Amino acid sequence: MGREAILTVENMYKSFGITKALVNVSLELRRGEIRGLIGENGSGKSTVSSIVAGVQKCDDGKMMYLGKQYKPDNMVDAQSQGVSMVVQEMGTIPGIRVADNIFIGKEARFKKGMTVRRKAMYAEAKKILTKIGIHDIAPDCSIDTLNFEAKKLVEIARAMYDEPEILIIDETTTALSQRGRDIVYKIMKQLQKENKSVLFISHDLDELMQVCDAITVLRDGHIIDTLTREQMDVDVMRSLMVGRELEGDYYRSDYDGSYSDEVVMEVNRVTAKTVLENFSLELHRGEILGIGGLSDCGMHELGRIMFGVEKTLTGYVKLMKDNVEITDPRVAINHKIGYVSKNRDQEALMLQASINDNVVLPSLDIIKKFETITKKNEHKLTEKQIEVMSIKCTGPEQLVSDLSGGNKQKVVFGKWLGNESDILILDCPTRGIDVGVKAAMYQLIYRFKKEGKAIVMISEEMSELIGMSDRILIIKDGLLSGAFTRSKKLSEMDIIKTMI
Amino acid sequence: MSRLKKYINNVNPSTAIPFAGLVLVIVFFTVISGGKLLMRSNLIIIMNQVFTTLVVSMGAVFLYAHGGVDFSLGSVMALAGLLGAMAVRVTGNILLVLPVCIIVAVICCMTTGFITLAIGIPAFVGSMAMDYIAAGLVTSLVNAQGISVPEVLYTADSWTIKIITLVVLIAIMVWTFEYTRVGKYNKAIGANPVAAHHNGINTTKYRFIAYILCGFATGVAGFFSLCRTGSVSSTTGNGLAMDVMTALVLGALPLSGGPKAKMRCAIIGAVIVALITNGLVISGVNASYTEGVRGIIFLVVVYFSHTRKKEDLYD
Repeated sequence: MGREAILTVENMYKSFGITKALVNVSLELRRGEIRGLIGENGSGKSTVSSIVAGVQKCDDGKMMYLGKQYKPDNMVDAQSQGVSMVVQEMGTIPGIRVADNIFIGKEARFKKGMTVRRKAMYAEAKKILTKIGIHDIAPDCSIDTLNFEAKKLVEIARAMYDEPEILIIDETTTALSQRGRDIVYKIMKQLQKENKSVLFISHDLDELMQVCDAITVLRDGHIIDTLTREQMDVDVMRSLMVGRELEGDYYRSDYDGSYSDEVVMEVNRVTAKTVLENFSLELHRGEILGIGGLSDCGMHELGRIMFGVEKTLTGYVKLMKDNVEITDPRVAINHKIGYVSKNRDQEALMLQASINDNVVLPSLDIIKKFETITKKNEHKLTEKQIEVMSIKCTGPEQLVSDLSGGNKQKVVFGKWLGNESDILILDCPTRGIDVGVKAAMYQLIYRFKKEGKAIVMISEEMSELIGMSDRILIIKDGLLSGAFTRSKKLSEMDIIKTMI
Repeated sequence: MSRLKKYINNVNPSTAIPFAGLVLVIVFFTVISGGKLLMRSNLIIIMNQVFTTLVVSMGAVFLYAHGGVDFSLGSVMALAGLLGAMAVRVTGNILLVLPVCIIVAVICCMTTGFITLAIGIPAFVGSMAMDYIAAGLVTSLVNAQGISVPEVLYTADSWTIKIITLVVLIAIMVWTFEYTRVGKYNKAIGANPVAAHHNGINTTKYRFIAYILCGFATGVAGFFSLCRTGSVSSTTGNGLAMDVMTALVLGALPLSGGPKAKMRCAIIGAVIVALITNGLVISGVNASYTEGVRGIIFLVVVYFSHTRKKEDLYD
């Protein structure tokens, strides 16, 4: 260490509505350093890195880069100054070729008169792919013919083309096989050798310990600590991430894993439009069934199919008690199934409506008297849910858009509790929720189990699946690739092996 | 004084602004017209203007609540009145007029609904097509035979009957919109159609019901328009669709629909629109300018309601 700083972040603040994403964050990245960034979801690590990469702007604070004030207008501006990022989500543009993806927005370099010299572009793409150690992707093939991993590698090639001074890798490796990971590690080492820097965000603590020179821990928008190589330890990092006060009963504490033999719902050889193929499962009363896999493995699709939002091509989803097939959300709701969507703001809530309007929406059939729905009856239901879910608000008429992510999610849960649902399909139920509310959510889900409800929990977070589920099913490319039962010995590595 | 301040702070701006607008319009045109606005004879003219716009607007609220729009209501009203008049000419049965008016308007609006919901053509295009179709039918039918109605129909143009109709209609519409699933689901669809579907709402069905209610209201308005003027011409209902839209916007109903849509938007908005239309005329503004002035007012109001929504989004 002891080298000069390439980037410093000073007293950075960022809020989304009333949610404080970053509070007084200061950070120093040195030349030739590989810095790990860890924290729970919503801890602010992606927010920091996206501000550095120019995706969004901070509310307050400043950045110094190469000794000068640094304030990128957007991602392209940051790139041209030497800061590139590979994002967590899919960042390639479908429908065009690999080379077009690598040189998107930079086609002018291959301009000749009014046209783009495609051959030169392909040659250049081939060169950059070879340079980072990828030999089996043809630059002129369509990006759609590549699988998830290859697309990620193309993104990395794109980021590397500009020879960045700082490369930000945001939770990319979780989706990669060992070969893909090795390529990424090699690139990181190479940059280090060239006296450049890497900001590396990952959930995989073992991986971070292997490659990073230092690891910074974030929690609820605060920097908690920065660990040097000698200080790194998985248990230390985990307790720093979660916060000591939550230890012990963050997830459920028992390793019982038992549930009733009674099957309440059956997915029978379902094939869906995109990935899911001939998939079957049985859900039991009093069971928390975890579903895991990579983002596009078909697990989110499975949730939508179980609620009837998406249609099956073949196969069916059947509710045992009433012997009815789920073909539409209306059928699902009438038979006491609730669904928490992964895209809360787009699919589950009316943001410009009040808490009350949202909570009562699926229950209007229940609370109507002589076809009439009065505010009084609505508020009775809503106030009960505000109390049960302990939603932080000024009252039932407050707009949902004013609430924090965690409280919004509580409104969604309250909707299905008010509706007295027996089966809950939760798709990423703790996505973008701060740690405190997350713990409360886990307690709530555990209580549902004790009450005899059946719960499907679809999640991209391994720790959450291991911590909460009685049974875990892992999906890979639309097929079942692993099944685990609740056990103290179950580790994230066991599961990840079946995912990729 | 501080209590007054506190009270003002507690008033919901979306409720207060239309009322403030109403007071402003009354004061402005009373002064400009030298008091003519509030004269008895003029008030009756205003009330007649309010009646048609208000009745149609109350039906249209259901459409606008789910994010719909309808440009055909003027022509549909004219066609409904025309076919009602023809029904009585052919059969001689006076009792047929009202049902025929309502049925014709409902069928027209259901057709627009079908074009929008089943075929998937955007509502504004579909309703414009309906506007041309209905207007074309009116023109050709009026030309073919002069339309006159039996004198007995004029007796329906009494304020006793009209006020009773209005009170009953307001009661039904407020109840349907604010206290039943029909209104609440249409607002939910306007707020977020995907979430509405995920909450088990049959979005096609409830949007279609909105078209039926809109047609019903337009048919009733067509009947009373026929009773008042005794005839239908190719100018009957001209500008009504725009008046309705202006009324709803002036009543603070967001054009995107959603939970902020209220039945009172139609009521207060219809009164403001009638006052502006009438106020411009009695203030001596050249008739050829009034249309333009109304267009500008419409634009200004939409601009303000639009920017307000944008801020909401960025919160």
